[in-house]
Amino acid sequence: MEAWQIFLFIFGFVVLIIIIAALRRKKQKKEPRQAVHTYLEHGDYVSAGRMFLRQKKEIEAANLYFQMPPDKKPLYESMILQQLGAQSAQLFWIKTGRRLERSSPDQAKMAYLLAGAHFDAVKMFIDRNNPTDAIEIVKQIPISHQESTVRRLSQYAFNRGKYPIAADLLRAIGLVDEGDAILAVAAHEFGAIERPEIAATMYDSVGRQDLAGESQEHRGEQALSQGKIEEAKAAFAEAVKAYDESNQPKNALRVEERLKKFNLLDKFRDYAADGNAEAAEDMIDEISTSFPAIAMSDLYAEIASVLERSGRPSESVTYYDKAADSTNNPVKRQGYVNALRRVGSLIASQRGKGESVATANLSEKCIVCKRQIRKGERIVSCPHCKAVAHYSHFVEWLKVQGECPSCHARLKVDDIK
Amino acid sequence: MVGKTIPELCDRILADYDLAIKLTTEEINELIERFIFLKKGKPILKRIKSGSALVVGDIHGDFDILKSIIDGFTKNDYIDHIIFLGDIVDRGSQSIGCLNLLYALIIKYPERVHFVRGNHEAISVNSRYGFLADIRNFCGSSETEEITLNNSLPELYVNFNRSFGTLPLALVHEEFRYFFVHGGIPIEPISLKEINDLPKADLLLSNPTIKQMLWNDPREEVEMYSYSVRGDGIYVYGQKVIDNFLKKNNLKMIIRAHEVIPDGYIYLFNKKLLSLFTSEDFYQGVSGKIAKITDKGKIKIFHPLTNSY
Repeated sequence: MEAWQIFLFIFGFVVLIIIIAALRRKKQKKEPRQAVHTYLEHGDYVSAGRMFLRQKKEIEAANLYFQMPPDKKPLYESMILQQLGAQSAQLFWIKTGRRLERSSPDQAKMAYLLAGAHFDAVKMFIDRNNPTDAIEIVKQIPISHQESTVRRLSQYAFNRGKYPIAADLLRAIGLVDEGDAILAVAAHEFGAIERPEIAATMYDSVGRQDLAGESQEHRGEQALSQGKIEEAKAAFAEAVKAYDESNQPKNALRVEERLKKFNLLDKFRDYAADGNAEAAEDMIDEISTSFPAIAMSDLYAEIASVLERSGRPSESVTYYDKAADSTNNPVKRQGYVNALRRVGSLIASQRGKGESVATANLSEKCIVCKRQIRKGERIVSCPHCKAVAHYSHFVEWLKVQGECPSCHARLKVDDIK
Repeated sequence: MVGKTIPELCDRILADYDLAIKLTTEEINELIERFIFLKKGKPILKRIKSGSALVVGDIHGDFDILKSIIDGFTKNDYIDHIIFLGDIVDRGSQSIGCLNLLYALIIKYPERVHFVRGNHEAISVNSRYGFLADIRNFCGSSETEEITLNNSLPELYVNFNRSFGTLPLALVHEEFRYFFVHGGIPIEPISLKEINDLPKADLLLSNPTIKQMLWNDPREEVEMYSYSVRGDGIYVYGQKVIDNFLKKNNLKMIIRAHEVIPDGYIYLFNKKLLSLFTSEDFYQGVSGKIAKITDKGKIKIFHPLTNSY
């Protein structure tokens, strides 16, 4: 081989390498993502982030920050500062915070704090009703503008009706009296506009258990007048507790007396739930004198619905009927009438052979148990003498005696028509 | 206060002013409740049609001065109105006594006595500048307050601040076109109607206009307005802001308080603004002054202890 041939060969080889290198570079420029991936694969978050920022992909750059391990974060933060400059970096973090406020408050908080935007961070937690985190951030605000910032935040919370948070923020920086006073005055306003439950918690948190007790009592009465029994009971129990704490035995005793009457209701519920309808019914008069706000019809309906659910639809008819009779409210009455229809069709589908339902209170007495037959009870009549009896009684009788108790004709259960 | 009605109590206080310092917590609470009952629902911009008036600047717990002013007012019935420009409490020694006396006067003459809200009639200020401490002392020495409530906020303090929420923000004398306010006017042009539509009982002074009316100061060296050293959202206002406001609402003069002035009064901006200061208790070397607007609309300035009513 001649020398010029070797030279050409080497020259050709070098040119080839240069071409390949140029091609690869071009490819890299076209697909920088791949370069980012390469950086990421090697854990070089800073270079990856820098690349994102150069490409104006701020969202990706921000997301990357939240994905990396904590020990790499400080370096990344300084890279952003270096790359964007102080002002734009602050803007970058604030934008990130705004974007993440909904989806991930923790990350948003991080971003806000990096921007030094304590105000926005606290505001976010006020909006999310999270006083704990809000207070934590408030304590990090530089002392030079802590008070003025907290005042503005407190106003923000107050104007949105979040009085306890407004007060907590002030207390957090040592303005305890001011926070208490704001809450207490707001509590008075709430008391005046019929929101005793809010007033009560506010009084409680400013250490005025006596007033909290009054508010709870007020709340109980309000709940009672709206027929919200459970809430009323809870409120009265709270009132007793508050009066006890504020050393007012007289008031505590008075409310306890009221609370005792709720036992009546519990007993009624127990009877109704056990299916002891008659015992429950006996209590209805007493309950409606003690609790004028509770409608009698509701009590009857409660008995009826327990009976219906426990597979005694024919007995529930009586009580639905009484419920419908004892209410003046057309909507409620329609509800009971609907229930009667529902139960009626249920009974019809369950009805045994020859059985019917009494449509009214009958003058006849059951020939088995000798009790008067009432509306809604399942009845049957003897095919021979037409005497009327409760269906279940008559069937039971035939099984044992094999004859009609009235006309003594021989009968089997299958003979009833 | 067994078997005595509120009007009787007020009469007794106005016959013997020192009684105002000796009231019990219960009696004060009843005065406050009556006061709130009287003031609740009244417009935030009060208007008086006509007549002569006394104008009183900051009192700041100066009971002696207040006594002499009220004495001058009640003994000279040719004076139709008396206007207090706020800041009755804090700093001085007798905040509670001053309020009791003033409330008694207002309950006795609800149509003739006018009490405009000052910046110290707000929790953020009076919880720190003496009023709350005074009430704590007062309740601590009184036997009626229960021991269990020692550390909590005295109810009296809460009630007083509730009553401050019912105070009007400004007052207009419709015949002479004078505008009375504690601090001044907001830097944005505002009409009287807009003032009247501001929310009342603004506990935290979160409305920027209300805050400015209670806190702003006039400065002759400022043309429009500038930031104030008093804090966030507070400004000093100059000639143009005043001219705009007076022209827009067809007013002649702004009469305000809010600043300590050695002579007790100062006219600014070619007599378009009068600044008054009345308290002497806490401020050494200050000579407190009050103004009298005669039934012809002339303004006379004098020291409250001289008999020039």
